[in-house]
Parts: sequence; C-alpha cells; structure tokens
Amino acid sequence: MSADIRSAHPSIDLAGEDVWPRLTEFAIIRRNFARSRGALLGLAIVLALVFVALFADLIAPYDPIVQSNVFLAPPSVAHPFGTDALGRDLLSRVIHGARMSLAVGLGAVMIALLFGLTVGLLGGYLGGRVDAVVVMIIDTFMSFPGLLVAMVIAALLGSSLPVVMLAVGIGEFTLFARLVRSVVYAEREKDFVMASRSLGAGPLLIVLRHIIPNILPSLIVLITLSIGNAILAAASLGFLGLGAQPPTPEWGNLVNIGQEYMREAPWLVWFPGLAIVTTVLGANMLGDGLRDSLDPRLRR
Amino acid sequence: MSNYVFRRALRSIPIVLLVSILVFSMVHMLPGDPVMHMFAGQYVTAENMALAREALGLDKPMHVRYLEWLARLLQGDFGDSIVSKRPVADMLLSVIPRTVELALSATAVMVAFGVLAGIAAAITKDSWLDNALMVVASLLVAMPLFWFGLIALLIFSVELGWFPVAANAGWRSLVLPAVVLGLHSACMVARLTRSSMLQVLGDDYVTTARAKGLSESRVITVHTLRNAFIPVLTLLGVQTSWMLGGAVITETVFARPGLGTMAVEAIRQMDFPVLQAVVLVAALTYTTVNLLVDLLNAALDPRIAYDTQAGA
Repeated sequence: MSADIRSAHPSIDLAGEDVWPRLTEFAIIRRNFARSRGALLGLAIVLALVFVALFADLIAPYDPIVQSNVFLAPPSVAHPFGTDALGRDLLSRVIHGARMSLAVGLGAVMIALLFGLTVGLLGGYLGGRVDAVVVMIIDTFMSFPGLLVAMVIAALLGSSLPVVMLAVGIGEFTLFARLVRSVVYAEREKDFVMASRSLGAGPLLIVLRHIIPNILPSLIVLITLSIGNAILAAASLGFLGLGAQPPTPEWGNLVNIGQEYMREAPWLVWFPGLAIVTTVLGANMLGDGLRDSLDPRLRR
Repeated sequence: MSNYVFRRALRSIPIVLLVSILVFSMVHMLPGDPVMHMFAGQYVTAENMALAREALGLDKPMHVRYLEWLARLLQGDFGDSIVSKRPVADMLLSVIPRTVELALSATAVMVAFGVLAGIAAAITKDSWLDNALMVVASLLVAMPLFWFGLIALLIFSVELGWFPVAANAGWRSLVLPAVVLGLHSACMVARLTRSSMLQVLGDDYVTTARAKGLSESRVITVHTLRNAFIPVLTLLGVQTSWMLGGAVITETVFARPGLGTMAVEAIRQMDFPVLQAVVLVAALTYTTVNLLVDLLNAALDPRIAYDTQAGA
C-alpha cells in the first residue's frame, strides 16, 4: 500500500515512512473505493435506480396501469420497450417496477439484519448453551431452501409488500446470523474487550462500543451483497405469482405475464429481465468494491 | 475418526427434530382454524365443525397431535392430499425421480464447469481468460434463474429448435433444464475454486514442491487440488438447498413434473399435506447431504476430525 502512496505523491521524500501524510481510516477506504472502476460503476447504477424509483411518476412516459388499444406492439419510438397484451407501455411498467424491487431489496435485508444481528449477538456473546441453541436454529433454517421458505410464508400470510419483505428476509437471515456470531465469538476474547470488562463495562456497553464497530465493515459488505440476492428472491416470488399482485408492476411478475406471449412478443420477457440483471449487477459490483476497500487484509 | 462420525451424526438429530416441528407447525401459522378454512363460505353448524375437528384430531392438544403425526411419518404415512385425495407418499414417489434426475445432472454440469473454470482462472490469474471467466460468472450470478431459463428456452428451443419445448421427450428434454440450472449454480463454485486455489498456491508447501523442481502440472494436480477442494466440497453441500430451490424455478419454467412444480401447485391450492411433505423432503435431503459432505471433508483432511469441539 505504501508503494501506492509514493507513486501518488512523487514530491514527497521516499526515505522515511513517518513523513507520509497520515491518512485517516475513512480516507483510505474512500481512496481505495474511488480507484475501483467496478465499484464506482456499481454505485452509479444503484444511485440511478434509486432516482428512477423515487421519481417514477415524472420519468415514466405513460401511466403503468392504464390500458390502451395498442396491443403487443414491438419496441418503437413511442413505446421504446413495446406494449403488453393489455396495451400498457412496458417502459413505464419497468420504471414503476423499480420501486417494488428496491423497496423489497432494502426491506428484506433490514429484516434479515435485525434477526441475524439479534440471534448472532446472543450466540456469539453469551456462548455456552445459548450459543448451542443458536447454532441449532441457524443450521435448521439453513436446511430449508430459502425460496421454499419464502413461498410458504407468502402463501400463509398472503402476498403484500411487507409479507414479501418478511418472506425474503427470513430466507436470508442465516447469512447475517452466521457472520455476526462468528465475528463476535472471535472479538469477545480479545484483550481490549477483556480490559473493558475488567473496568466494569456491562455486556450492552461492550457490544455497542467495542463489538459492533468491529463487525461493521463486514456487515456493510454483506448488506450490500444481500440486496442483490433479496431482489432476485423477490423477483422469483413475483415470477411464481406469489409477490406483488397485478396490476402493480413488479419485475418478476412482468416476466411471468410476458412468458405467455414469449413467441410473438419476446420483448415482454427481455426488458424486465434486463432491468433485474442491471440492478443486481450494480448492487453486487458496489458490494464487491466495498469489500475490497473495507477489508484491511486486501489492502496490503 | 469413527468417534467424529458418531459425534457429527449425533448433531443432525436435534436439527431433524426441529425441522419436523417447524414443518408441523407450518399449518398452524395460518390465521384462524383449519376447519374454518375447510368450510369457508359454506353454512355449517357448530356441531358439524366440532365433528370435523374431532375427525382431524384437532380437539387433542398440540404436542399429542405432533407426536401422532411424527409416528405416522416414520411409517411412511404423509397423509392424503386435500385436493386429489391421493396419499401424499405416492405423489412424492412419482415425482422424486424426476427431480433427482434434474438435480444430479445439474450438479454434474455445475461441478464440471465450476471447478474447471475456477482452476483455469486461478492458474492464469489476471490474464484475459481469468477476467473473461469472472465477468461471465458475475453476469450469471446477477441473472434471475427463471429469466436465464426462459431466455435459453426462447433461443435454443423456440428459435433454433435444438431442444424440444415439451418436458416429456426423454433425455433430450432434460438437457436444457440441467444446463441452465447447472451453469447458474456454477458461478459460486467457480469463484470459490479460484480463490481457494490461489490461496493454496501461495502456501509454503506449494513453494517447497516447486523448489524441489516438480513440474507445474504435478504441483497443481498432486499438491494443490486436494486442499483447495475442501472449501469447494463444503460449498457443494450448501448448494444442495440452492439446487432444490433452483429446481422449483427450473421445473416451473420448463413445465417439468417434479418436487418443485408439486410445491408450487400445492401452494396455489393451499394443499398443506403436500406442501409439508415437500418442505420436509427438501430439508432432510439438505441435512443428509451435508452430513455426508462433512464426513467426506474429514476423510480428505484428518485435522477436521480432531478440532471440531470448538463449534461450527
């Protein structure tokens, strides 16, 4: 890493390490992140999508739900993504679909984080019997395919936005629980935690002051990478007809409706799918970039 | 080692029990009473409702019903489908071979492509081949499986006519679903094989092997692969549940009969005995495969059997 700084600051004396400008941790992370083209591209895609989702009403050329008599029209200037069997503009439906996907992506990950953090902290910090139970719970949930769990939850509770978030979130919480548990397990035996405990710090203070900050980088990376997975899972539910209910446009559901007309109107399958791929790719690239710049082991 | 086998097998028992409790209580998570759902929209007297409850055993306490349910399961009695009235066990037996066929051939594709691509990328690190393979892997990971399947169906069956669109045309109708599910799952395997290989290639004993003057191909086949393969094998175990989830999607896209399509049907019709059976089979398959993977890992790396007391 120091070689990088040297080449970036050729005017500075190369002889002694101590003359290097002291970079704060945050500055190092920001610099590494800004150097990664993939990470910047990912960030740009994610920001663009958030923008599209927030201002869907203003950006979309047509109302996504209003039908017209232009049925199954191929892509044209008037309808860049074509129209569906009910004459609705596909571009406008894809634009509005971004709302659903981003909402589910963020919501599901927050739920997974909440469950995972609670379970993982309990197991990792308390250890012993509590930890044995936690490991058993994690192993049990891992043995169910996430998609199947999400399908069952959506079927039991009925498909609505909060239910889809919960369904996808529960399908993913084991990732967070496992990460948090293993890191806490390792951190709690470290000297600075011991020192803090011997000074009379209670468990809550230790967790908040010493343990959470240490698992934060890994958590941020996992959150970003999970958003892509959550969007994929939610789209799969939508494809199976268990996600957002029509006429609300949702990407997975758009593909599901489109597959009926796959031969005569393949654009109905192509465009919503490309929207999912772009979004997930953006989120994953951002996640990979964050991992590379946050992980101190990869820096040196 | 035999001690390890015993301890590891013992660890699966509480998980299997917990799985069965969760699957049993699945039905009871439904808001309201199953009998109310049965008679939804019909006029029934309270007396008839009570009779129906008694017939279903709903008047007994929950733990008694669970134990009775478990006892029937152990005798291979999964109950009857609410919709078709057929025994669920028969329905399972008729579709399981189709899903096993799909999962095994997809796993073969996944291992072949994933491991080979991972090795190729690792030994040509930072070359155009490595970069190209990793770009393809990132693209596939970001692709929804159902969309990947539909696009493959559109291109190879509808446009090019290489494979039948129908699901019942013998082995030819298995190729496309297996390749789609296998390639989609191969990305994780390729990435992990690559990073695991790179890590092992940097180990001291590999440097020693090279310093001894061994040829690079011998260093890789004899010294590296065995150790690099351990995390990959673990991933293959974890991928089982991913495969089964993927089978749900793949079977739906290609209209193949199987456990996945059965689950989707059961959910649409709220056929809980069938749904419970599929979820149970999936979870038990995962638990069994991962038990086998752990034992295989211990056989590959004897250190694993010695220090497992510290927890997972």
